[in-house]
Amino acid sequence: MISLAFRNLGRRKGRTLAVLVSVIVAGSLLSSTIGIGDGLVSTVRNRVESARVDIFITGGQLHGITRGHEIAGEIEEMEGVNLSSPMLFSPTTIQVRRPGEAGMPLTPYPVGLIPSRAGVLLPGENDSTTGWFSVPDDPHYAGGSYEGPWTYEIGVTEALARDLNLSIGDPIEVMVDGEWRNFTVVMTYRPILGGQAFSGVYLVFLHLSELQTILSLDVDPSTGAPRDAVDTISVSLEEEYRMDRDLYVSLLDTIREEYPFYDVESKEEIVGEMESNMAMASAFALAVGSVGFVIGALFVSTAMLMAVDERRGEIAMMRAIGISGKTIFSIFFLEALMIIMMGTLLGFGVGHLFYGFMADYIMRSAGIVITGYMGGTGMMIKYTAAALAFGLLSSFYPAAKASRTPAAATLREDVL
Amino acid sequence: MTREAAEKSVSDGSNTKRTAGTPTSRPGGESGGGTTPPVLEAVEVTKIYRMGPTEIRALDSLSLSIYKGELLTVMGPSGSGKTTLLNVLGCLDVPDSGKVLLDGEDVTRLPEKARTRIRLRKIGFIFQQFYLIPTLTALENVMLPMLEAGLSRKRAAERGRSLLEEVGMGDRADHRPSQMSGGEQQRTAIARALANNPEIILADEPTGELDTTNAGMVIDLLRRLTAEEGITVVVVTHDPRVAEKGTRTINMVDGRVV
Repeated sequence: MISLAFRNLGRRKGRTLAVLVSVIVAGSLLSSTIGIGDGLVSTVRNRVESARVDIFITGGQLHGITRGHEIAGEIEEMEGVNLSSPMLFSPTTIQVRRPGEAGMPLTPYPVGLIPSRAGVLLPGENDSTTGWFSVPDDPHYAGGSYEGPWTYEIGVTEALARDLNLSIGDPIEVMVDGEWRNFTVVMTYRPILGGQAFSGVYLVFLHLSELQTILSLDVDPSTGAPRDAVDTISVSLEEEYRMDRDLYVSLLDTIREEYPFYDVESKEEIVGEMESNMAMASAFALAVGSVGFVIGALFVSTAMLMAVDERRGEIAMMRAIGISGKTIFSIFFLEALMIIMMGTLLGFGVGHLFYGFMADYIMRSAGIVITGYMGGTGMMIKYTAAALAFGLLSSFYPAAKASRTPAAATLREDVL
Repeated sequence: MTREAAEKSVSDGSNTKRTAGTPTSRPGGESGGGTTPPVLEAVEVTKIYRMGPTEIRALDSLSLSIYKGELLTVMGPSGSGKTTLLNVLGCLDVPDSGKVLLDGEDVTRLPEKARTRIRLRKIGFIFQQFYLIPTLTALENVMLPMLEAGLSRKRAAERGRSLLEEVGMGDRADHRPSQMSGGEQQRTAIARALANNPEIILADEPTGELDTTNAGMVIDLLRRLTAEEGITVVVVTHDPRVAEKGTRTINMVDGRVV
């Protein structure tokens, strides 16, 4: 039966080839989108997991946490806490330029951090940064007075360093209170998102209190009291608390009780949320890829229905000589399934090439390196399940139609 | 049926009661009287085709008895109901009324599955257009019903070769239909009809697409099957030269035997 089904595919070679190509294209589209989707999910998850943040505190709005230094200090005093790092992210840009250079300055987005603590926030610090701040603390803060000395240290993303032709140790001017001040480049950073698509998006890193002053987030202008606004406080735990779930949860609860107005999330919750979002993105990619497969399956179905119509006489003969409807169903079902299976196998190979091109494009455009997810177990399960589902769906109806061909009526029509 | 049982049945003919030799028919005997019961019998069979408001009475209260070893030829003008009769006798179609008795059993009330089994084991069909499967060789075409009946590939191939030898196609076993003449294709189809050792062969215009020489060869072969192997053969034909080779000929007009 398998041999007969296989040989039947050779009856209309052109049509079989066209259908096969459509399934190959569909299969390659599906496999490469699943591969890229899974690859992106894994890459981002790995980045988050590799960051040594165990608890993440946010204010619920822009610069929503006040007394950032103080709260971070209080948390750091808690038992089981290794580091507590306040950070400030600004959606408004600041101006920077090479010293004395006329023309339009560049406008990077600034990030404020305390260098001795910010390591917890920079995943794969050793891989993504070159150089580091020489002043580990935040002297300008000076206990909330913001009258301490400026370090004038700045870190820049690789794209900014490249475009301003800067190296570590070079001077750079930053606009502070309407005048240019000289800073020194102490670090370059390669962000998670880089590449061509983000080549015009610059970031700079400053000591937290210096950025707070630049952005007027240091003191309350009406009262003169310290405002000390930050966006996040990232907490890294000691190994014992990280590994012991009860201790971890208990510390989490303590922080929540102490700071009820802020959102306190565990790393697990963050990864969970991220995975949930990524699962949606992955499902979307699967759906997009599946559209191609549905079209491929419809191609197969249509071709098989044409074959059933063309071979009605032959089917009627088979029924007449006693071949059961089940056998006829199996022959046509196998024919369709063979095209689908051959197409999906070859499609997987072609998809691997697509995946390579797409991964390369994503790396160049977005700077995200995706490797090793084509052919992973999860990916293979999804792909095989989709191929089988569409294979079965596209094969079933034509095979059922063939098995129900009325023998006597068809033979009579053929004679007429 | 198990493979062993199928093999035994096909090889020793135990699914039939035939004995080679003289036909036990009584020419002209349509009522089935006498001591030997008919192998196949139509009793008051009526078949009506409905095409919208029009009714076509393809078979009109037709009764017919066919005896073991007969070569019955059925003649009549187009539309007289010959092919319908063949389909009804061969369990391919069911009449609107009346009965068809095969070895005394009414097959018209059997479910489709049971009628398919009967077609596989007791009846061989031969068609005007041969209907060989073009992607299979002559041998594989002959093997098809045997494999369906549960024979092993090896036994089916052995018997298939022997049947092809019997119809003079031994040297063409590995040829595909496209590499054979019409006569060769029809002889292959006859070998296929014989595959499961049937009691009855029903042939619808088996010489309709053949030249005189090949037509003669085919009808001689069918005669030999009745004479030497005791198979009952019913041949629908327009050709009087074919009809005169039968042991009995009936004529049909408007769904009746005249």
